[in-house]
Amino acid sequence: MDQERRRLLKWLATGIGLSTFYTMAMSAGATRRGDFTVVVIGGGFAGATFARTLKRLDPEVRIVLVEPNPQYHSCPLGAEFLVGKRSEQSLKFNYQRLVESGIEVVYDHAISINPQTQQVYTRTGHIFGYDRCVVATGIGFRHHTIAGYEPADEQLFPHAWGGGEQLRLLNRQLMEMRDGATVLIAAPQDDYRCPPGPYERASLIAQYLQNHKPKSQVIVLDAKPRFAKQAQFEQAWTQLYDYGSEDSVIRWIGAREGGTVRALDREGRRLLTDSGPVAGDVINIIPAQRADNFAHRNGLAADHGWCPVNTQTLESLQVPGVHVIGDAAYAEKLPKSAFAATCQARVCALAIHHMRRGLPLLKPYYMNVCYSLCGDDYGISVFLDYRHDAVTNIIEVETLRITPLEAVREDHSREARSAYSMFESMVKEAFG
Amino acid sequence: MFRMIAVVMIWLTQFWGQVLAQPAVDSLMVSNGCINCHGTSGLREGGIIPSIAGQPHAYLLQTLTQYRDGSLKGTIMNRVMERVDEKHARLLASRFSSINVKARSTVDVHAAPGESIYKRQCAGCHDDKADSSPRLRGQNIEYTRAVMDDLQKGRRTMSADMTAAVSALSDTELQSVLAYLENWTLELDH
Repeated sequence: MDQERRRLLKWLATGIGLSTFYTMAMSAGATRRGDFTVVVIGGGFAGATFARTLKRLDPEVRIVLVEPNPQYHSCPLGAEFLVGKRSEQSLKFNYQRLVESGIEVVYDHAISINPQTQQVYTRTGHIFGYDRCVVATGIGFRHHTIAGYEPADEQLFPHAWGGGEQLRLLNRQLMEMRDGATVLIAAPQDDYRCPPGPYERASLIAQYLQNHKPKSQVIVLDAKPRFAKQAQFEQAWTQLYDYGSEDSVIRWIGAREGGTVRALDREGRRLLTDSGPVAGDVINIIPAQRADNFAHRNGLAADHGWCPVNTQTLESLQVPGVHVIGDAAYAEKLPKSAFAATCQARVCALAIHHMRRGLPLLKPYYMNVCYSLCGDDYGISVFLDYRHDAVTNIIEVETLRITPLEAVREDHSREARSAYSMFESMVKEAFG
Repeated sequence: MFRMIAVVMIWLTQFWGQVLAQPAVDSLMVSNGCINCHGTSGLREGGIIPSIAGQPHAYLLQTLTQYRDGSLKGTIMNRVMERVDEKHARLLASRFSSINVKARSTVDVHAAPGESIYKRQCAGCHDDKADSSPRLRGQNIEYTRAVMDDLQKGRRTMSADMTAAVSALSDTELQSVLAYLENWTLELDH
C-alpha cells in the first residue's frame, strides 16, 4: 500500500498523474503486459520525443523506433555550424538513452506500411507488427519547381536543409570561397521546414562575410513577398550589416521585386529569376518542400504534398492506425518547427495512451516558440499560441507575438541565450 | 482489488482537485508548450532558462501573474502568459511546485567564503523551506546571475526585504554568494 502510494506520488511529481491512475486501474487485468506495440518511423525531434514520452506514460508498451542513422544531426542551430561558429559534434545526438529506457531502436530503413496487416517492412527484411504506427519522417523536396534543377545538383548547389552531409557541403563552399564572391540563397514558397530558417542563415552568413570576406555579399532570392519576423530581421540587418545601404553585406529580393527563382543555369552558375539572371559563386538552393517520399509511397500524403491528420490524435486521415507527427504532418495551422513537432509528439503520445484505455481524449494544447539568431549575442523570437477547434480540425492561431521592435540590446542578448538554452532543453527531452 | 480502490481513493481525494482543474484536462497536456524550455520534470541542466521544479507554489504563481500583468519584464514569458487565465496559471504552478527535488553540492562548498554569507543574508528567505521566495541552491547559475543583474540595474523590482539584504552586501560578497551557488545542482527526489 505504502509502496504503491509512493509510486503514485512519484508519478504525480513528474507530472504524469493521470496515467498512473489508469495504469493501476488497468493492472487489475484488462491489459496484459507487452501486448501493445507502437512502431515509430523516424528518429528526429518528433519521433524521439514521442517515443520517450510514451515510454514514460506507458512503460509496458513495446516501442520500436526505426531510424536509418545511428546519429541524429540537428537542424536547429545548424546555421552556426555552417559559418564555423559551432562544431558539428555539438549538433549530433545518438539514441543511447532511448535504448536504456527500454525503447527498441532499429537502425534500418522503413520501406512500407501495410495498414491491413498492421505491419512495417524494412530494407533488411524485418517485419514489425504494430497496434499503432507513428510516422515522423520529415520533409522531401519538390525539385521540379526550379527548371533544370535535378536531385543530383544538390552536390554542387546544396540545400543544406537538413543536418549532416548537406550542411558540411555548404559549410565547405562558404569557407573556401574567395573574398568578393557572391552567396545566393534561393528561399522557397510556403510550406517548408522552419519558416524563419533562410533568414537566420542569411544573417549568420552576412556576419561571417563581414568578418572574413568583407568584399562579399549574400543575396536572398525569395519566392515569397514577405517572410517570418521580417521587420525584426531587417532591423537587425540594418543595425549589424548596413542593410539597405549601398555597401550592405546582405540583400533580400522578394517575390514582388522579382526574386522568385524559376530556373537553374548550371554551367553559368546563375539563378534565373523573374527579374533576370543572378550569378553566384556559392549557390544555396532551398527547394520547395513536401512530406518525404516514405509518406507519399504509403498513401499518407494528400495532393498538397503533406499528410492530413486528426489534430487531436495526429492520426492520419488517410490511413487508419497510422499517426503522422512533425514536419510531414499537415496539422493546420502549426508551422514546421522542431518546437511544434515535439508538441505534436506529446499530444500524439497522450492520445495513444488514452485510446489504448478507451478513455475520452484530452483537449490538445499547442504552442510554438521559435528563436532566430541574427548575429553574435543577438536573437529574436516569435511566440504563437493556439486553440484547437475540434469541429473544423484546425489549430487556430490565438496570438502571434514577435520580439518588440523597441527591444533593447540586452533583450536581444537574452533572446540569443534563450535560443541556446531552449535548444539544450529540447535535445534533452528528445535524446536525453 | 480493495487495495487498489483504496489507493485510487486516496489519490482522488488528496490530489485530483489540485492537479486537475477538470477531469479532461491533464496537467501534462496543459504544460505541453512549457516542456520544450523547462523540461517535462521542470528541471534544467544549466542555461539561462530556469529550472522550475520544486519552486514554491506561491512564488511560481506570483511570477506567472507578474509576467501576465507586465509588472515583471521578461522576454518571451510576457508573451506566453498573455492569454493564460488564472485557472491554468494555478494548474501550472501546482504541477511544477509539486515535483520533489533536492539540491546537491557538486564540490565541497563548505570551505567556500560564500557559504557563510549565503546562510547569514540569503537562507532566511531562500532556503529549502522558502514559501514565497525562489529557492536558489541548484538553480541554473546563468539564470540567477541574469536575475541579479536585472535587480541591480532596475530592470526588475526588488521587495523591501531583498533591497535591504542586497544593500548589506558588498559586490565582492555578492560575487562570493554567486560563486557558492554555482556549485549546486538540482535533481529529482523520489
